[in-house]
Amino acid sequence: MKLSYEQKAWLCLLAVLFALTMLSERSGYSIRDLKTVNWDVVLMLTPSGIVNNLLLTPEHYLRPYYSQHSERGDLFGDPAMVVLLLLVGCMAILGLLSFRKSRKPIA
Amino acid sequence: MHGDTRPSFIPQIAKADSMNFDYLYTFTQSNLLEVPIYFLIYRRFLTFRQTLLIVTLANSCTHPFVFFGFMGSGWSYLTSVIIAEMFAVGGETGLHSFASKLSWQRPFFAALVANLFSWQVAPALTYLFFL
Repeated sequence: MKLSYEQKAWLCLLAVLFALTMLSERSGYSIRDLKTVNWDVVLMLTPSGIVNNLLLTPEHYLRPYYSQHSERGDLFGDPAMVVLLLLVGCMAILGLLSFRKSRKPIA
Repeated sequence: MHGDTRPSFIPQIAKADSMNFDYLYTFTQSNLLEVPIYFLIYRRFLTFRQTLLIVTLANSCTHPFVFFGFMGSGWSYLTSVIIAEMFAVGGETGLHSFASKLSWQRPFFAALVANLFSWQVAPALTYLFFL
């Protein structure tokens, strides 16, 4: 059975989602840990909030939750996270390449 | 039952009850917010399925770097989020333009609108549903 390039791209997407699941597990990131974030500030620093509050100068509100909350899962200190990130990127690019091959040039 | 009674030869990956899907949820939420915007802008050139495919593949290249890289960089939140959004728009413009063979202007406009929308709505959804 010969797969079309678009079908190959969908297969790459499946592999990407699997790798993202592993990344999710490895990262140790937990949404519920964000409870202690100052959400007034986060919600203020959205596009509409920035327009309304240009003078605000927040500090490092989210960093501990993304990189230092758990002992593992820091992108800058965990080689497994880097490998998983590169794996996700490579497979996604492979999928995009396959998709590109399935496309006819646009006049 | 106390402790894990499964045989030790079952790999870590099979322990589904202890898997952490929080980042996957965040990625999916962001992706689902962006796909309809991209489809509105690409609808003359790509089907919905094709849009879903290239948006998800391109997001999987940019989102982990935005999430774990820029947001965990140690810069102030405002600096991190602005640089991360610029990276996302630039990256997705390039990847969409490359994969779909469209000229860069339309993917740039689409990426700008989709990422601004996602940035505006995603934190509010997370706050409403989980906190």
